[in-house]
Amino acid sequence: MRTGPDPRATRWIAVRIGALAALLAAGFAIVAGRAFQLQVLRRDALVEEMVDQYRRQLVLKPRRGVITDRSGVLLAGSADARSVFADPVVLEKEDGRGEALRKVCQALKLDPGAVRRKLAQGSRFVWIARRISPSQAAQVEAILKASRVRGVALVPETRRYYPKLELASQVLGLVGDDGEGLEGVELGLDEVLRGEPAKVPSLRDGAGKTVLAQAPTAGQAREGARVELTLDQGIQLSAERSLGAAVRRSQALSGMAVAMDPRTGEVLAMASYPPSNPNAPKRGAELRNRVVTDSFEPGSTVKTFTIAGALARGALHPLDPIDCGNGRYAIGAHVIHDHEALGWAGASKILAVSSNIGAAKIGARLGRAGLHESLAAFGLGERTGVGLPGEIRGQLPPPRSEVALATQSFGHGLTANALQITAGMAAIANGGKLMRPIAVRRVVDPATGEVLQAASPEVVRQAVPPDVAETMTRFLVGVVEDPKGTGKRARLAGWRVAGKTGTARKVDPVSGGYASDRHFSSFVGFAPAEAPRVVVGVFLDEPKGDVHGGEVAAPAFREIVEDAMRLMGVPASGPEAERLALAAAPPVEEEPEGPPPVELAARAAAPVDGASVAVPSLAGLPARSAIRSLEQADLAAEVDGSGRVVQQWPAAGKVVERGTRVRMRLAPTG
Amino acid sequence: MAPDVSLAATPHRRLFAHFPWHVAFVTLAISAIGVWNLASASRSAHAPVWISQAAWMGLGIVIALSLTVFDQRTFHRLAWIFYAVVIVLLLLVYVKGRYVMGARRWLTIGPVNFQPSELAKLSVALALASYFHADADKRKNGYGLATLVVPFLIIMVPAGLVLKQPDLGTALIVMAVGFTQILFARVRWKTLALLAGVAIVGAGLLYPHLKPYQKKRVETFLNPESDVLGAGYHATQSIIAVGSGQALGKGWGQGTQTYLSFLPEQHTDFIFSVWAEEHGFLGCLLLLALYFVLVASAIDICGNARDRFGHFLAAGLTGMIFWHVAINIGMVIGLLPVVGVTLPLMSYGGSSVIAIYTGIGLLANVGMRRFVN
Repeated sequence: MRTGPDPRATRWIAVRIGALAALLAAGFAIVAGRAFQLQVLRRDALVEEMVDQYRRQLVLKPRRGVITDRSGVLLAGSADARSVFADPVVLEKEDGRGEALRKVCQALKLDPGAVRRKLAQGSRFVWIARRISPSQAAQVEAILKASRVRGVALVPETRRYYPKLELASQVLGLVGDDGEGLEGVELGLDEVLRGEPAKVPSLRDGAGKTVLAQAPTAGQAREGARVELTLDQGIQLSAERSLGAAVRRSQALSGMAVAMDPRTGEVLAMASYPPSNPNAPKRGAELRNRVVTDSFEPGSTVKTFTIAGALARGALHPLDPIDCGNGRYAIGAHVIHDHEALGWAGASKILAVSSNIGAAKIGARLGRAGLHESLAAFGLGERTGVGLPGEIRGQLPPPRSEVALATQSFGHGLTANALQITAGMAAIANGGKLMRPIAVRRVVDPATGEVLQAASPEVVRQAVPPDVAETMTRFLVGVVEDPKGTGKRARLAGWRVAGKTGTARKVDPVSGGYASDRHFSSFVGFAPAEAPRVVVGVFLDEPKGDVHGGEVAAPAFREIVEDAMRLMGVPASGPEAERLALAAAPPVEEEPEGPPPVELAARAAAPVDGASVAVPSLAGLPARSAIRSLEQADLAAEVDGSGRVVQQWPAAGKVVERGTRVRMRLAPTG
Repeated sequence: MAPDVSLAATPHRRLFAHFPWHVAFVTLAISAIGVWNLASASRSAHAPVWISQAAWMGLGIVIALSLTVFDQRTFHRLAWIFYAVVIVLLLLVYVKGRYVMGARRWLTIGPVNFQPSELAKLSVALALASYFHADADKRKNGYGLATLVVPFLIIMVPAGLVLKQPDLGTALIVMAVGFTQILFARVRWKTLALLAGVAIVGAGLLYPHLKPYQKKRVETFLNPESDVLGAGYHATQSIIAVGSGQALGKGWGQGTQTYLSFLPEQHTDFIFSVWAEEHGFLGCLLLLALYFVLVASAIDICGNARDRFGHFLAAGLTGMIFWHVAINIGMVIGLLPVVGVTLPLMSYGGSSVIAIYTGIGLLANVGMRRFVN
């Protein structure tokens, strides 16, 4: 060393070296200890944290199944539509001046201020617009590309659409923003319609991007099943039109109509008025499927069940004369009136003129338990089990007094929904067998065609013996055909009709008693009486003017039955048959106001082979047939006038593009 | 320079008898682990960086070996020239450095990009060693505040320039190197206590002047859960990576934190978390043991240096290696705030590799001449 060995310096160095070594050792010990703490002591928590942040389950939503009518006509379908969302944090960085956002809002016709407020709420994922049209999506895409913004993006989603617009809208219901069923069949069969989403285990990387761990296999996702309803779109259309016309004519608050096949319990039509447009749904009263969700005091239609029950229990013989007290019958302090005084009468007459006193006396013969059992046998007071959401049970309280016994005999002091009453009537038409109403015919896997669920007719019970049903049918024919019958206006040329009117006073919500000026009017019946093919119920809430069911509801009933007979191809019989056969065409129909509900834009999903089609010849056809043949050719219809087609543009045989509007002028015959 | 080489050539055999084989072995072992680990860390990256890392290491080995043959007096003489060159380079960075991620740290000379700040550590070690070698004789009674002004300036000029880039991590290392050397000068106890007090108060006074992101790092270090997705993200993800390695690790190339890029800077500052995740606690212990041997050997060389220059130089270089390892691993395992300090021989980066190999070459040089007179 240059400097001599200096003991102080040597000691100094030793101290410093020792200090440094100690520092080093301590440092390494601390680090090793910390590693031990993390990797051994806290490992489970940290492993869990790690797995949590990278493991993601990617859910691939399958397309929602379609809903069709009984013959496969599309009632609800799913189309691809894109949605726009934003990540406000990314957007803020890229689009500081809000230029791109303003353009996007402009393209989507949104208020930029409102969108900005939405973005300012702090979420990293904000929907700007859901399910926009393809043209808007293309516009937005172009804007985003031009401005190089990634904070706003498009994602594919599906949009539910209803090509028949208002047709059966309350039965179909509606879906929510995320494709979940909210009402009607969409809700009731949500599970099968939704399908099974494919769950693909995936990893998420540090940037939040999804790294697919494995490819989704076809077996994992099950597409939404195809649901075939029992509805017949033709009968449904007829029911909705006739009901609508009846409600408007009578200025009723609302109305309902049901058509069923009495042999199977299949619901062929189920209509509620006012209608709703499921393509632009408003939540509210219009969306309610009143046929199952609303109950009411049915009134005289129940007399059918009372008399049938009395016949079945031997409390009444078809030919027994009943004293109808000339329009006045006192039970204790209460007096029951008939709207038309009747003396002695048989059950058929009582039914035909709808005598309350007669029904009350027959009810008295049955006794309280007997009446209760008789009405319960027809399904009153129990849910039909049709499988549509929100079905109301109705109240069938056991009569606690003679007055209650009397009023229940003619349909007061109990409530039921429209489907219950119609199904009860169907039991008469079906040899006394009460069938469970069916709204869903079958559920089919769209990929394999495999039938996943199929409804089979189910007998709930033998409500009355077949011979009683037969007798009742004769009585009910009398209601329509008797010159004094209340159901005269349901009479139909070509098919024998059986049915019963109902005109119930509504309970006054204020006084609790019955209101004299507010009624619930109905007509329930079936045809042909000899071999019933359809049961139809028409119900009107608070009609004005002549409120009788035979006046306001029977005409609509007749229209629906007539259309059903034609659509189902039931041959006409009876005295009118020959004349009808000669005419070889159905009589003139009344046309509803407004254009018929044929929507072509929404039919894009229907298979189309070739872009053009020859215009069919429409000359001489009634409007409905004309529209149907245009529909089959994928043409739109424009109707002018009523009656039969006398002129059409473009002319028959001309080749036009599918979707072309064909205008036709109609004129009454003769 | 030629005479020095010829001088050194004479005691050739004796020199190589004292070649620090253990230092060489440990250095190469860590380097090999580093390259192997980088190959795993860069799986998800765009380029396999381990190849260029290996190339830099090859160059580093050549530099280190060639440094062992020079006589220490060469370095002694060249220390100030080197120091001046580094200051000029740092000033050049300040004037025309390349911006990368908001900081000017890089200088482009011909085809090579490098960080002069890496050289600043070595230059401070060399310059201070040279200064104390000549100066210590005059201070028989140890150093007081006034006599430490020059060493302070020697440290703070390059440290200040590095801090200005800004590169807080490297500036800290430059200061740590210098202060480790000052500790080896005979500083009076009173002065030492005073300095410690000034450092603490100075840190307090300096804190408000830190950049917001630097403040944020300190705050999140004190409470990492306060901002898991923001500033605390690195620390949190790093701790998750280390902890999820458990005792034995997930195996080479199996680290999900690495593969799924939860860790930014995974092949540079946070390389230790890759190693810890894939090789577990045992792997950590192995690596720590290797660093321990390296640093302990360096201390041994320091304690047995032939002269004061070698002694101070070895002290500075020991400090450089130790503080790099301690600060980096401390940051990765959540003991220290996040600062940009590389892990020697493990982190990717040519400048860093060359600086460390140069330092080890100088250490070996000192070690080989411990008994040479």
